[in-house]
Amino acid sequence: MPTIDFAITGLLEKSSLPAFYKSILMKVLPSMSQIQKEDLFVTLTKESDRRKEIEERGEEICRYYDMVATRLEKDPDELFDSMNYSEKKEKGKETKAVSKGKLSSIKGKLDLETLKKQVGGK
Amino acid sequence: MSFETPEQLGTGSADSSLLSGSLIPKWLHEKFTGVWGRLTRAFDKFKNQKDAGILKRVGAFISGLFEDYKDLTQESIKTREETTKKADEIVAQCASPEDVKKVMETQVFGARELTPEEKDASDTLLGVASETWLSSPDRIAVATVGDSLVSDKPCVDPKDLTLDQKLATMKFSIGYVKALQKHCKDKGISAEVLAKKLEKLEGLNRFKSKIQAAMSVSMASAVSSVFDDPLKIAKLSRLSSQLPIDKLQKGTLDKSDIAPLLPHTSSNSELMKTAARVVNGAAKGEKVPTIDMARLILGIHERDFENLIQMVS
Repeated sequence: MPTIDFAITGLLEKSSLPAFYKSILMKVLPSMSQIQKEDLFVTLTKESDRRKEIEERGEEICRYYDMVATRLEKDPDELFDSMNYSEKKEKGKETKAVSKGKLSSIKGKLDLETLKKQVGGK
Repeated sequence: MSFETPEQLGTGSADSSLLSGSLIPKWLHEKFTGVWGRLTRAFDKFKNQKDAGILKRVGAFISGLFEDYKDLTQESIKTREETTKKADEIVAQCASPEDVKKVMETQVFGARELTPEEKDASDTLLGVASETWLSSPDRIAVATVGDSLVSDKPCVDPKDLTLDQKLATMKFSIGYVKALQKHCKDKGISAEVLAKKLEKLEGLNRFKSKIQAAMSVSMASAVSSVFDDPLKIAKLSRLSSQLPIDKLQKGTLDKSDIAPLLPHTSSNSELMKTAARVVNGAAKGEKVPTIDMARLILGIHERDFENLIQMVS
């Protein structure tokens, strides 16, 4: 069996395609052109990668909420205190960023004024 | 879906059945339901303590988990749909009706060699089905519904099938019966011969019982989806307003009860009797005799198919 056929067969087995499509594709695989095979291979690889990504993200989400549940069961006050702290910290960062933005805008305006004066003076 | 108040997230209205199963891998779904259970138990614990502040925050966690789950399933559906669309394009380019028929044969009979009678039945029934499927614009929906109903590991749980997918399958069934009717007329196949061919496809009985089970499971979701489309409501309510519901439920409809819904067929008294028998049998969950099925396939006017399928399902 050519390597690409072998790879497609493996990907088809794990694919979320309806079984009917899988069976038809398996049946017509030997008579497909090389371009069609490559096309199918790319499609199935893309699906496999995206499914893997979804699974990893799902695991990450479960881990996070699992941690939340454990802390809720153990000491909810500690959890909410730490969350309040993080929220404040985030808010502080935002305020700081806004202030920085304002400062640079004022600075820019001052620079412009100075430049205008310099140009006017000349 | 989002929740209005933390109370709605109590175990009563937000049990793990909200995390509808088959759209992400089973092991991941089980992880989600596990965490969901822990959070809802915590919610119930704080509910007893009557601390509104904590309740609100735990509610937000559950809502967050639900939203994340929903996002994942949406992405999963999108991925499957894109892959199926591409696979469908390739199938349309490469597969012949004969290829599709062979695959259908394996699904119905298994991988064994067919007897001459089975081969004959397959040539007519599956031959027409494969041609109808290949030329149908709803190939994907039909294959998805079929897979969902007969596969041991379906790509979509029957309760997650959409109304559009079910309607597309109904449309396909009508097209199939019409094509079968034409094929039989062209080849001079009688109702008795067709009934014998139908009997050979034992697999179809397995398919039929699964369809009935799936229809009842999905009824609630179908009803709610119907409200999205006033036309569909009108169609369904027309059926229910024209049929005496008590007689339909008891399976005691008379040919005269069915006649207004099959106007193009109603001039044939024998056919109307058969139609009444089939609908009554389906209402009682009985196996429809193949000879009745064959008579209906060959005799019923094509414009009446849709109503008959709706009544039976």
